[in-house]
Amino acid sequence: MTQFLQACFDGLALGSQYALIVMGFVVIYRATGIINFAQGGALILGAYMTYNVSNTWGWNFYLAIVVSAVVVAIFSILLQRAMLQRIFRETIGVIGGLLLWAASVYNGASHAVGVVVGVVAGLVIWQLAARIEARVGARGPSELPLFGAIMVTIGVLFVVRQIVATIWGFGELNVEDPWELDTTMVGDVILQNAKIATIVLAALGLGLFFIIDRYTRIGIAMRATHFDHEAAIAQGISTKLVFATAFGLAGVVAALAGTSAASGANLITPQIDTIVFLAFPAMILGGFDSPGGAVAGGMLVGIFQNLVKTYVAQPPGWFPTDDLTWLGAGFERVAIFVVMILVLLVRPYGLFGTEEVRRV
Amino acid sequence: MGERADALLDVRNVEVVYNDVILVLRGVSLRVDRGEIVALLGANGAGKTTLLRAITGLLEVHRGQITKGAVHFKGEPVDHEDPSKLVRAGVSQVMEGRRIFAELTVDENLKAGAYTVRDKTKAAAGYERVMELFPALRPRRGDTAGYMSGGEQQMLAIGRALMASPQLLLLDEPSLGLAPLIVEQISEIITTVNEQGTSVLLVEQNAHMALSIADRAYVLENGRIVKDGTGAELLDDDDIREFYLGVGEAGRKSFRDVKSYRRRKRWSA
Ligand SMILES: Nc1ncnc2c1ncn2[C@@H]1O[C@H](COP(=O)(O)OP(=O)(O)O)[C@@H](O)[C@H]1O
Ligand SMILES: [Mg+2]
Repeated sequence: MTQFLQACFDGLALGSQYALIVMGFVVIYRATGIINFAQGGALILGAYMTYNVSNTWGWNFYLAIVVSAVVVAIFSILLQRAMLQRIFRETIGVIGGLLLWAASVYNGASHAVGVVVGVVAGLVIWQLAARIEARVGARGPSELPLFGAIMVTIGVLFVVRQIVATIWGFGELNVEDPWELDTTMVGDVILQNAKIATIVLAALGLGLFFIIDRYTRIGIAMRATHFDHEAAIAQGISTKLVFATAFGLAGVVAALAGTSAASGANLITPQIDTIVFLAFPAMILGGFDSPGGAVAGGMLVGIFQNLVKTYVAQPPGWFPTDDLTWLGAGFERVAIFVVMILVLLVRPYGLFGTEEVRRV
Repeated sequence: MGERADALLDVRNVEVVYNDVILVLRGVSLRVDRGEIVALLGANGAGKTTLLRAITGLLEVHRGQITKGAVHFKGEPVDHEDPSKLVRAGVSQVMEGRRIFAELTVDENLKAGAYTVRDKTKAAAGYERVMELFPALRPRRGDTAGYMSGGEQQMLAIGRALMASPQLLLLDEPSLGLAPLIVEQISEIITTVNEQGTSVLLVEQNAHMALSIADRAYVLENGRIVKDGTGAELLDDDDIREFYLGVGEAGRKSFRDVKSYRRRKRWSA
C-alpha cells in the first residue's frame, strides 16, 4: 500500500510537470493550429532565468519564479510576433545570426568576435531569406504551409539551447531553491518538498490559466477565435491580442515547468527540455485542443509512469515472476508511449479532444 | 444617385476581386440613410456576401480586395479599416449561416459580441436590451449555444451583433433555412430594432420578407446593381414578382423560365 501511495504521489508531481508543459502546447495549438516546439526553448529559458535571478543575483527564490515567468512570457510573445506577423526574413536572419554567434563562441572565439560573426551572418541570411521570400511569395510562417511553421519552431528550440549554453555553459547547475532535498513524511510515504512545491506551482499556474480562459474577456475571445476565426474577427475581437495572450500564457506555464524541472534533487543543463518529449503522450492522450484534457492527460500519464516504474522494480506478490529487470531501466518511459498508441487506436483524437470542430 | 447629407453608409462604385483574378463585384453603389431599413436582394452567387465583406473589412480573410471605389461610413472612408475599428465605429453584422460560437454558452456568445464595449454599464444595458428583444434566450443563458434550435441560434446571432449597440446592423440572409413562423418573428425583431434607432442593411433571397419591411431595396445580379426603388415599388414590380416572388401571370415560374429570363438579362443596363 505504501508503495502504491508513494508511486501515486510521485506520479502526481510528475503529472503536474507534464500538465504545465502540455498546457503550453495546447494553448498555442488552440490559437494558431501550430505545434510550437519552441515551447521546449521557453522551458529551458525559464529554468535558467530562475537560476540566474535566484543564484547569480541572489534574489528571493519566489520572486525569481515571477521574474522568470514574466521574462519567458515576453520572450514567447516576441517570438510569436516574429513568426506569425509576416516578418519571415527578419526571423530567419535573427535566428541564423544568434546561432552563428553562439557557435563561434562555443568554438573558442571571444564574445566580441562572436557578436561580429553573428551580426554579419544575420544580415547575410536576412538578405538571402528576402530573396527566397520574393521568389516564392511567402510572407511569413503564417502563410507558409503549417509544416514550414512547425520547422521554424524547431529551429527556435535549437537556437535557444545554443544561446543558453553560450551564456550559462553546458555544465550541470544547481538551483538554490528553498526545498533542496528536504522531505515530509505522511505515514510511511515520503513526500519530497520539491515535489509538493511542483504540485502547488502547477495548481496555481493552471488555476490562473483556467480562470482567464473561462471568465475573462480575453479568455472568451480566445475560445471564440479558436472555434471560428472569422466570426470572432467580425465581433471586433483582435486576433493579434488573442495570439499574444496565448503565447504569453504558454510562456508562463513553460517557465513554471522549467523551474519545477530544475528544483529539488534535479540539476539543470541545456538539455533540460527532454522532458517535453516525455510529455507528448500526455498531450496526445489529452487531445491537442483541450486544456482540461492537458491536465487530465498529464496526471494520468504521470501516475501511470510511476506505477509502472515502481512495480517493474519490485513486482507485486501475485505476479508470476518477481524479476522484471529484463524490461530494461527506464521501461516506464517506453510504457507510456505504448499506452498512447493503444489509446489512439481506439480514440484517434485522444481521450478529451474534440473530434471535429462542431459547426451547427 | 445624388449624395445626401444623412447617408450613414455610402458604397460607391466598389469593385472586388478575389485571389487577384476573380472579379465578383463590378462597380456597386448603394446607400443606407440614418433610420432606414434597406434590403439587398439577389440570387445565390450574385455577390451579396462579398459586398458585406467589403463593407466590414473581412475580405482579407478570403484573399479578396477592393480594387476600385470606396466605402464611407458616417462620411469617413472605411474600406481599408481593420474590422475591429469598424465594429467600434458602430457597424455590426450577422453573418451568413449564423456563425454562433457553438461550443460557448449563450452568455459567452453575447459577451464575445460585446468585446469592443469597454464600459461596464453600457455592456450591461446592451445585455438587458437583448434579453428584452429575445425573451427566449433568458432561460438558456448558461446553455451551450450549439444545442439550441436553428431559430434560437439566429436570435442569438442577432443578439450578439446588437451587444455592441451598433448604428448600422448588417444581416446576411437571416431567414435562411428557418420555418415561416420564425422568419416572421425575425422580421418583426428587425423592425423593432430599427424603430429603436438602428439602421439596417438586410441581405436576403427571401424577397417577400425583405421587401415587406424595407424602406428601400436594391437588386444585385452578377456583381451589379440592376434595380433599386422603395420596398413598395419593388413589391409591385413585374420582374421582381416573376423572378423573386414567383407570382407571375401564370403563377409560379418554372426553372426553365427563370433560366431563359436570365438569358434575356432585361435588367442589365
Ligand atoms: N473566397 C472566395 N474566393 C473566390 N471566389 C469567391 C470567394 N467567395 C465568394 N466567391 C465567389 O464570388 C461570387 C459571389 O459570392 P457571394 O458574395 O458569396 O454571393 P452571395 O452571397 O450573393 O451568394 C460567387 O461566384 C463565389 O463563387
Ligand atoms: Mg451569401
